[in-house]
Amino acid sequence: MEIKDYNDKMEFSELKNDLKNLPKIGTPDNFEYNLYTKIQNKSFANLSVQREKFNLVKFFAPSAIVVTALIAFFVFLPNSDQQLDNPLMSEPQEITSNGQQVVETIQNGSAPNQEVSTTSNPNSVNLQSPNKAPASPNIVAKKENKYPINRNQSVAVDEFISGDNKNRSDIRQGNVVNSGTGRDEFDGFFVREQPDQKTLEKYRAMIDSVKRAQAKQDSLKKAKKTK
Amino acid sequence: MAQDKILVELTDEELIKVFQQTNDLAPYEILVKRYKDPLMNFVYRFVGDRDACTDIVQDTMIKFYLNKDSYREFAKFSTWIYTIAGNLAKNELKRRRRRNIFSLDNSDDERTPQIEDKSFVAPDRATDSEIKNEMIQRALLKVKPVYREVVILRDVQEFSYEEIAEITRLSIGTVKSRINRGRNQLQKLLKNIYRE
Repeated sequence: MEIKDYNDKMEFSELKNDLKNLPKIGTPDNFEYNLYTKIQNKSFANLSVQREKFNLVKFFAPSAIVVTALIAFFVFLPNSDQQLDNPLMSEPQEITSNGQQVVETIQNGSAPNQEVSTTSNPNSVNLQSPNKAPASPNIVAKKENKYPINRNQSVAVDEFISGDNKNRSDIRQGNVVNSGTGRDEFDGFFVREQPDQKTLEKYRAMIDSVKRAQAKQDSLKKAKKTK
Repeated sequence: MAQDKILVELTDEELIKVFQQTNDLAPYEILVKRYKDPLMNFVYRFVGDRDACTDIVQDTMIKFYLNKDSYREFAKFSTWIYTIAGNLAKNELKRRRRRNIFSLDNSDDERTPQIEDKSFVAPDRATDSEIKNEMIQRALLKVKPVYREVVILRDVQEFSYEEIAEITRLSIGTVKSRINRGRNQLQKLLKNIYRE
């Protein structure tokens, strides 16, 4: 490997000579006067200012604030489930006529359209916690349908294709297949009408009188036969 | 008077020692007289602005006055004061670079060297050497500052490699290679004058 000789006197000789012969620049005439005036007046504050020494506390203060803020953010952060639950996306709950919420609508294959409410009817069923045993003997826990198919609004495809559905016994079975959410589709709010008590008593009295007349007629027939 | 005569005969190192011990301005004034022009020449070739150079040399002298006790006897006074001047000149260049970056007006006024009134002559009267000197100064200011400083110290101020190493706080090898690169850059910039 060739070693470069930086002391080569021939190289750049002309340039070096010109640099050496450049005119010498001197200070202005009042240089010393200005200098001693500055020194006498001590007007050199900007030069005497020392650099601020490194301070560990000052250096870490901003980062400590950031870390504290991050910790506080994660500690006091509200439950992420609550935040992610968009109320516009969740299914609305049905409201009864007296303004109270119906907890759950239960659909059973054998008894469709059976709707229960915890407040409006003492025989109502609350299925919000299906694993819990019912607290009252009047309350009956019912299983939620496993599958997303609502028998009331669904169709058995195989039967429909083969044409067997014409002979099926459950005539209330519809012809719509649910989307698979496992819950009934929301059909809107509705008002339940309570039957009039007087009308009920009237019809009961009529039925009772018919029953009594029937019983009288039966007893007269028995008496005639025995005679 | 006799005392002044004795002081003038003293070396730089002896003068600063007297200044440190007596805190008298006489040795300081002698040192200022000795170094003001060489420092001015060095800073002018390095920065290229006469007004700024005057300020830098004044600041150098004030720093010397304020920090006289930080000088140690084992170092040469000339290298010590050139180190101060060189650092101040580099700071000035950095400040200018920052100002140029953030300046909306990106004119080249500051980059071009000011022509001294005394040396300014009409183009028809200008001699070849004057034009050449101006071209060399313009080319010097285009060389990278790290190379420019050592080239000026070596070829303009005529310091030895050891002294330059002491001033710049670099190894002698680094100083030599930087001088060589600086000269190379300068020669390329002045290719119209010099044949490579």
